Amino acid sequence: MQAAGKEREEGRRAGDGDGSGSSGRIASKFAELRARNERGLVTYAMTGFPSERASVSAVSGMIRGGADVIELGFPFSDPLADGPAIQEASSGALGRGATFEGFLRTASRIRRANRDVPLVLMTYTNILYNLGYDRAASMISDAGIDGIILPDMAADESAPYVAAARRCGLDTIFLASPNTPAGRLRRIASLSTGFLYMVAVYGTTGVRGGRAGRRAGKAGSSSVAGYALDAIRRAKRTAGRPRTRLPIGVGFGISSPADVRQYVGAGADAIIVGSAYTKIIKESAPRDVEKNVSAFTRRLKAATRGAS
Amino acid sequence: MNSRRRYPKNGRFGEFGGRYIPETLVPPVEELEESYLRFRDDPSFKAELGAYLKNYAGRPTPLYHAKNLSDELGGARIYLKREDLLHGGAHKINNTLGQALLAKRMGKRRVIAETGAGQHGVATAMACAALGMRSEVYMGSTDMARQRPNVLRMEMLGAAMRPVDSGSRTLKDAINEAIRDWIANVGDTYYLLGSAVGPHPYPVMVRDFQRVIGDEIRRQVARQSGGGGTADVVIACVGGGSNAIGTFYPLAGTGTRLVGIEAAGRGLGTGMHAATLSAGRRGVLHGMMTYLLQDAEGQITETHSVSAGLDYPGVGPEHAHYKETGAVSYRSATDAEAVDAFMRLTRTEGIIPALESSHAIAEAVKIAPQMKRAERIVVTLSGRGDKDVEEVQRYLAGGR
Repeated sequence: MQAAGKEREEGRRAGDGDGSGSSGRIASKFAELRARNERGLVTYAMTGFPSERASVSAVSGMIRGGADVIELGFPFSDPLADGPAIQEASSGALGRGATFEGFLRTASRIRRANRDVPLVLMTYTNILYNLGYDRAASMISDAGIDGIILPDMAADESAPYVAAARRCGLDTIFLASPNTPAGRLRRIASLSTGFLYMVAVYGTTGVRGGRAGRRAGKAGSSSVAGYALDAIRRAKRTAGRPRTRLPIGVGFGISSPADVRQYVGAGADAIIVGSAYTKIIKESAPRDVEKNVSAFTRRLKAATRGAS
Repeated sequence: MNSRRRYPKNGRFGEFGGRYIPETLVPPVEELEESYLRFRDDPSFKAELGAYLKNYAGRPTPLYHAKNLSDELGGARIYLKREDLLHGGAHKINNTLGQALLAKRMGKRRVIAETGAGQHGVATAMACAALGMRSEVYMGSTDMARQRPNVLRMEMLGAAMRPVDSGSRTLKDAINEAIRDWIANVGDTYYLLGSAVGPHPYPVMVRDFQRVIGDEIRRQVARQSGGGGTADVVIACVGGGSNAIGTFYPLAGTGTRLVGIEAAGRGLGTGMHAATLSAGRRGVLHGMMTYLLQDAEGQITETHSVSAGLDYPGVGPEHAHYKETGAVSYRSATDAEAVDAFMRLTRTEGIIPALESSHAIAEAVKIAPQMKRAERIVVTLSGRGDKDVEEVQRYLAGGR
């Protein structure tokens, strides 16, 4: 069992299509980071917000600033896992006529300009279900995307989706939460390739979650909740042990280098930042988007290096 | 067969239903399911709920022979299942009492709910007041404007109103917002969902709390016909579909023709409607796989109905299953037909029906004249229409 797991990991690391489904770019990136004893920075941009051009500039800024993995958001009309910032970005992008075809063109364009950066699609289940998981997976893969995140796809319902993604060599990145019990966490980890997305707060994206979260926020200078750090340690023990060595990415509500350092200290392999970017992108003049995003990215990236 | 409780495996009704939810909600939804399964057959829980339904809500509700309406239409005899006589003025209290009692037994201190027309919000506020619990109600700001009396009632009953300004500012957005609240407050909060929608176990639990409607119809029709008889047709309106599933579930497979009526708004051809089963496609929203009104891209489209309570782009997954299996026929009534039925029942019987229920009345108005005098139609009159008089007046004045 130990040996088989090792083999699987070797295969994934090499990205040789061993059935684990990893396209290789995400796995290679994490292998590279591990070799440098460095943590990853995963950054998010909603495509088409506030315009297609601005979101592409933002992605360039992220890559220039040192982001390791790029999440490209495609909007859904009812983003129930998202807080106000990404809700606004979603309705803004849809209001400008966002289509999935348009998204794929944007993604291809980004891929052509950047051969190696891992790209991950983040959207909601209905968008892919509507196309049919198989058709969606092949379109996404053809656009040069490496993996998918669906915040409303529970592991229990995921079999047809995971099968379609595997057939096209796409990573399936599932989310886990601080309240996910150990047995379920193992199951989620076994369905996840690329990395495991550990939700850091009780709440939606962008906000410090709920009343418990606000209390945690008040307790000290940092807004990082103790339960989140415990959750990362638990995830490392269950999902990130040497047998599978699935990297643990931590996200939701992370906006400052101080937050990043705390999560890195608790053992996170990567930090995921989304809503904070949405705010910067929205507030920057079009010609400053790339520059501002790049500067913010550099600060976050430095924090991922500093604490290791 | 129908007295046995069918519990869907994996929360699936055929291919529909399931549990498409953010991971943070999985533990509380599992806790809810375990608690529900534990308490639903618990004698003390059943006795407590039964006492509240009888002495607080006013069950059983009468089955009224609408003789004047039947005579005017000429044809089948029309009976009304008078859920409008329940405390609060709608069937919603059947479900809120059940879930609020469950929440209390689970030790949850805070109840949140969404509401469209405001009927579920009012019923939640009432049940929570009666049981000494706090409630907070999410309601789209568009709905708050058109259902003002219900907003005032909820506030007086002690519910904290949470206006929702996202999306179309109606029921679907109120559900999104309630789900977001729940994600942020999973420990102490109970989400009291008002229709037979959402992730498993809500569709089955809400159905079980509402099946009292169909169970009573069965008994009352049998008694009125001197034993054994059944209705020929039973009609209920379908938005999310809680009164309809409560009506249909105990009657499915008994030989009675079951008809669900959706809101056709300004007409199915106009795109301005909420007739999910008639014009929708399969998809995933609010934790369930079901029929949805959506565009070619899978984006949920805005709905329209003169009745706020039917203004929802999804439908309970068990209805989707009933549609596929043919157990129930689903049709629709337009705003104009519903308003006409509203006025007709008010005038002939002195009963002001909710605009939602008026859609079901409209179907009876259509089919009764083609049926024989010996045949019987039962319409679930899911709520009373006091809340709608201004809306109807506006509609009739041409301000739609």
